[in-house]
Amino acid sequence: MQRPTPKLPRGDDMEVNTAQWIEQQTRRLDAQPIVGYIAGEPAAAEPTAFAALAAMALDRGGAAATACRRLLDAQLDDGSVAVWLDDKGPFWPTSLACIAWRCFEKRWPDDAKSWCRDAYHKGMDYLLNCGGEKIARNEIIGHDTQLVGWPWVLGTHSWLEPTAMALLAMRHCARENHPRAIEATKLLLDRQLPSGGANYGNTFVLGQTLRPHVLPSAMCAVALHRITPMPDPLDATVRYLQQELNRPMAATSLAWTIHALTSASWDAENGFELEFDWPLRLAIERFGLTGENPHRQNQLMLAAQFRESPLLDLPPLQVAKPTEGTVK
Amino acid sequence: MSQSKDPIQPTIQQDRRGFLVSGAVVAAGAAGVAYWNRKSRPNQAVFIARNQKYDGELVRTIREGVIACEFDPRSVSGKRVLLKPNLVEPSRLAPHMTTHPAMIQAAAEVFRGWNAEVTVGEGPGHVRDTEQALLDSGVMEALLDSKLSFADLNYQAVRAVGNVGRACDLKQFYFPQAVIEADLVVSMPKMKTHHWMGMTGAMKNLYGVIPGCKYGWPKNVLHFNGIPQTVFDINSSVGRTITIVDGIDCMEGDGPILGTKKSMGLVLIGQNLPAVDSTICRIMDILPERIPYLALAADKLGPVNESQITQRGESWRPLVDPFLLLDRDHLRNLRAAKTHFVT
Repeated sequence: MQRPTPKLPRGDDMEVNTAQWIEQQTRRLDAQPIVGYIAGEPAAAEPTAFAALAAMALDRGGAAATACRRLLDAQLDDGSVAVWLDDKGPFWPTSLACIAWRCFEKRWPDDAKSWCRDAYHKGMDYLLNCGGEKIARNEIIGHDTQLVGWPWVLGTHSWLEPTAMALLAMRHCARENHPRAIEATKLLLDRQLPSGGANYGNTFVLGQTLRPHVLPSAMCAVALHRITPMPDPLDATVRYLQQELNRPMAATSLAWTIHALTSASWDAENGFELEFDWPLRLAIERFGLTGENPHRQNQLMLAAQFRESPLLDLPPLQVAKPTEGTVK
Repeated sequence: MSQSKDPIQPTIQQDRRGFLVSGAVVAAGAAGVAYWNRKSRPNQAVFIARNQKYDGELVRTIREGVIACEFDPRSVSGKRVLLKPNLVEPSRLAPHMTTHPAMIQAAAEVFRGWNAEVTVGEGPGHVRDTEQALLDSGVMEALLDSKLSFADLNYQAVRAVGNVGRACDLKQFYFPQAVIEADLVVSMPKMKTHHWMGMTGAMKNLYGVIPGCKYGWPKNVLHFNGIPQTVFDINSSVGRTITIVDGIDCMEGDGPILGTKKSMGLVLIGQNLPAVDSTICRIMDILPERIPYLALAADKLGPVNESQITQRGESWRPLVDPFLLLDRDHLRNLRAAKTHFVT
C-alpha cells in the first residue's frame, strides 16, 4: 500500500505571504518572548534563546531583553543553564544562552551593561570545564573517539549537535582560538560522512556508512560559518543540504539549513542562487495543519533574516593547528 | 576530564497511576503491580496473523488479535491509550525501518472503537527534529488523515518515576507526561534485526518513551548504563503495556537502521512484551534466551520459554524464515545453525 493520501501543503496553491506572516509573528513574539518547545508546555532554555535571537533580528529590544533576563535567572552558580530552565539538568543549552547574551550585548551594549558579559563569561567557564567522555578506539566505530567535544548529558560521549552549539558559542564569545574550539572544529569535520552530510555523530558502524540527517548537517555548517579555507568534507555537506532543500523540510531543520546555506554563500566568489521562499512558505503553511509552535515559528523568523541573523554575525574562522594534549 | 554528572535524582512522589514517583520505600507500591502481574501470570497469549498487507483488513486483524490475547476492551473505555510506533530514524529511502502509518491508523481505530482516547507518541532516538521524523515516515499525513493527536516524547514535560527493575544503576527514569498519564501504552515496533542486540521488537521499542531532552540523541545515558539492563528497567517501570507488532515489511541484516527489507506479512499481538519478543525471535530463527534483555526479562517480566506461551492465531513454526544476521562475534551464538549470516 502507498503511504496515506498526502494532505500536507505541496507548494502549488499556497497563499502564505512571508512578510505578513513575520509581521504577525513579531506581535506574538513581543507578547510572549519566553516559550517552551511545545505550545502551552513549560518554558525551556533553547526556545527562549531562539526567541531572544529572533527578537534581536527583528529589532524587538524589549522581547529580547525579557528572554535574555529569563535565561540569566535560570543560570546556576557554575554558569550552566538547564534544559527546562529551573529544572535539574542536563545543561547542554548553556551554549545557546551564551550566544543570546553575547548577541544582545553586541546589539544593545548600553542595555546589556555588565550583566550579559558576566553571564556569558560564566557560561563559557562552565563549558570549558566539561566535555564528552572518550571511548576506547575500536574497529567498529568510524569516528575518532578520542576527540573531545560536548555531550548531551555529562558522563557520556561527545555528540555532534552539542559540540556544534558549543563551538558556535565559543566563537560568538571570542574563544575561537581556544584549544577546545580547535578540537571541536576537528571533531565536527571528523564526523562528516564521505558523501556529505552528518548525523547525530556516527559515521561508520560495523563497516556500514550511516545516513546523513539535515539538522545536524546544517548545524555543523553554521558552527563552521566562514571557515577558511573551506574543508572538503564541509563542501560536500553544503551540497547535501542544497539537495535536501528540494523536498519538504520541517521548520527547525529548514531554519538551520537556511542559516547554513546563507553561510555557505557568504564568502563564495561566484556565490550561488538561494531559493528559500518555497520551502519557507511550505513550512509556514504546515503550522495551519499541525498547530502553532512558537519555538519553531521563532526559528523560521530568525532564519528569514538571512545574513542579518545574529547567529551568523561572526568573523571568518581561520583553521588553526590543533594543540596536543589540550583537554584534561 | 573532571566533571560531575548531570543531576538525575530529583525528589519524587507517587502519582495516580502508581508510578514510582517517590523514594525507595514507596517504590514497592502500585507501579510494581504491573511488574508483578506480568511475572505471576503462568501463561501469556501471543497472537499471530499471516498474509497481512498494509492495505488489507488491519483493523479487523488487530481487533481480533487483541481480544484473542484476553484483553478486555472495557478496560480502556474512557481511558487514555498511547500508541508508540518506532520512528527511530525515518528515511524515505527505507520505509521498512519504521512502523507503517497504516498500522498506527488501524490500531487507533480499534481503540477508538472501544471508546478510548487515543494519542500517538514517540521520541525518535536519532533525530532531534521530530517534525522531520513525522514527515519522512509518512506518519504526519496519517495523523492528519485520522485526526490523531501527537505527543512529542522528546520535548514534552517530564516527571521522574522510580526504576522498578534496578538492573542498571539509574534510580529513576524521566518519563514524558503522555506516558505518565496513559492508562495503556501500546508498543508498536517494527520486526527487525539489531546489530548490537540481535533483534528489536516490543521491549526495545520502549526506548522511545525516554525523552531526548534529558537523555540525548542518541539516548547515550541508556547506552552507558547498559542496553539490556535499561531495556529491562524501562519495561519494568512503564506501567500497563500491550504490543502490536508491524511484521509485514520487516528488516534483516544490519538492522535497526541499515538493514534490508524482508517481507513477512505478519502482525503479532500480545499483552506480555517478552512473550511476543520471544515469539518474534523464534520466527527469525534466533534463540530468544540468548538475547540479553530477554534473558534478563525471563520469568521476571514474562515468559521466554515456549512452554509458557499460549499460541493464538497462526502457529509460529510454519512461519520460521531465518532473518539474516551480521556475521559478528557477538551475534554468532544467537542461532543454533551457522547459516544466514552476512558480512
